[in-house]
Amino acid sequence: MPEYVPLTWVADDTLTAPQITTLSADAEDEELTNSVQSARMDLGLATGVNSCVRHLSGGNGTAVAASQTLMLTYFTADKDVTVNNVYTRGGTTAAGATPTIVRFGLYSVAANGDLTLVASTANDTTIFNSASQSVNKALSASYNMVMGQRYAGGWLVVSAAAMPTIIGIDYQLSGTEMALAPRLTGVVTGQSNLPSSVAAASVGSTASRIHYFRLYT
Amino acid sequence: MADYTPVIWNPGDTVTTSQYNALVAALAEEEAINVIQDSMIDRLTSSITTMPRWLVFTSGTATSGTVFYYWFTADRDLTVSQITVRTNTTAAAATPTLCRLGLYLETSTSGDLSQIAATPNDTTLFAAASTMYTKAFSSSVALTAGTRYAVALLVVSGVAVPNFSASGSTIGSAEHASTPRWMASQTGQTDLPSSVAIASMVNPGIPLYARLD
Repeated sequence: MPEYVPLTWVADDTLTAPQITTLSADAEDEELTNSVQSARMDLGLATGVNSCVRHLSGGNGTAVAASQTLMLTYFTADKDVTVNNVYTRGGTTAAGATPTIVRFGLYSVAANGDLTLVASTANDTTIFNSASQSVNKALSASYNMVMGQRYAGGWLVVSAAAMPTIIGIDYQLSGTEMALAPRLTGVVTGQSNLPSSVAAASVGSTASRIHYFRLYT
Repeated sequence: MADYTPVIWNPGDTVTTSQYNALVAALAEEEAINVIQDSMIDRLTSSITTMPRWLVFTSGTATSGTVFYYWFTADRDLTVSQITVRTNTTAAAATPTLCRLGLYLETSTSGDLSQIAATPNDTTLFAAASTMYTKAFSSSVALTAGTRYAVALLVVSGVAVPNFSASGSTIGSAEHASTPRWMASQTGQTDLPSSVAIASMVNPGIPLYARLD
């Protein structure tokens, strides 16, 4: 790609035809570069929004953590899209019979890190009852995701039996490192159901995981 | 996203309001996309890392007397004064003779390196497993966005050496050596070299996660 050399205009300077032609070409060049960059890293999907790149979904399933612990993966929407469903996949360990709550929650992240529940699935205790099972679950109501907005999402499982695993990665950094801005993971403990809001200060960093999920129309 | 169509102006042409507005809108949109792309890879707000945090899902084991280099591109202009890495499941046994971390500037497209910063020897580093270690450089250094650098790690020890949090590296040595150089190592070293030619390195390496602040 040619490198654009910026100009500094001062009052009464004249913008020449070659200068504005170059500027116009640069705008197109940057548009192409951005498109190629996203494509090369497979950052986004043609439709829908995912919580992390698909490369990271190849783990053998990471723990959901403890019962009543909402494990959140933070991500940025790469497009404006109305979502009605969520997809994920169970890991190699199924849920023991039978949980009392299995729900997905999507939270909008405020600038100060506070979370607000904006979409969720109804309780369905059959989710994750088989290992390595794909899950497609409708949201209770559609939600308009906004490009550039930071979100956090995750599954809450309340169960006295064995906890399932969900595809994702068990990263090898400290929780503190993952909490550096922009926060990448977090946990909210002691939840009997999805909280409607979570103060940033209530989001913990210990034993968090990155889970793969996809929100789609 | 709107698809911008560039315009070729000739001397004497008039720039219409709609043409001007389209150009300004295209530039603003691309700037917004850049911000979103940064956010999608979870680029840290105020630090430079050798890779996104979500790539750090495994570990690499050091070898006594081998310098491990891992290349990266600075994503912002930033003056850095310290480096952070994390030991994984294996700590350094008591006691190494040398533990140093370095920062190198890539001086050729083939991957030759010149040292621009380094930590002093500290044999207490890496003494615990699963621990983030932050160590100050002897002097701070200014990094330039878009410039290629490498972090370096050297442990010299007669006992067990630690492993470090890293990304996966099972794709083979040829991929490590592809331009831009990804990682490499240099055996038989008693200290960090001031410069190193790519010809003196070998391909196996550790895709080391490091944060520079």
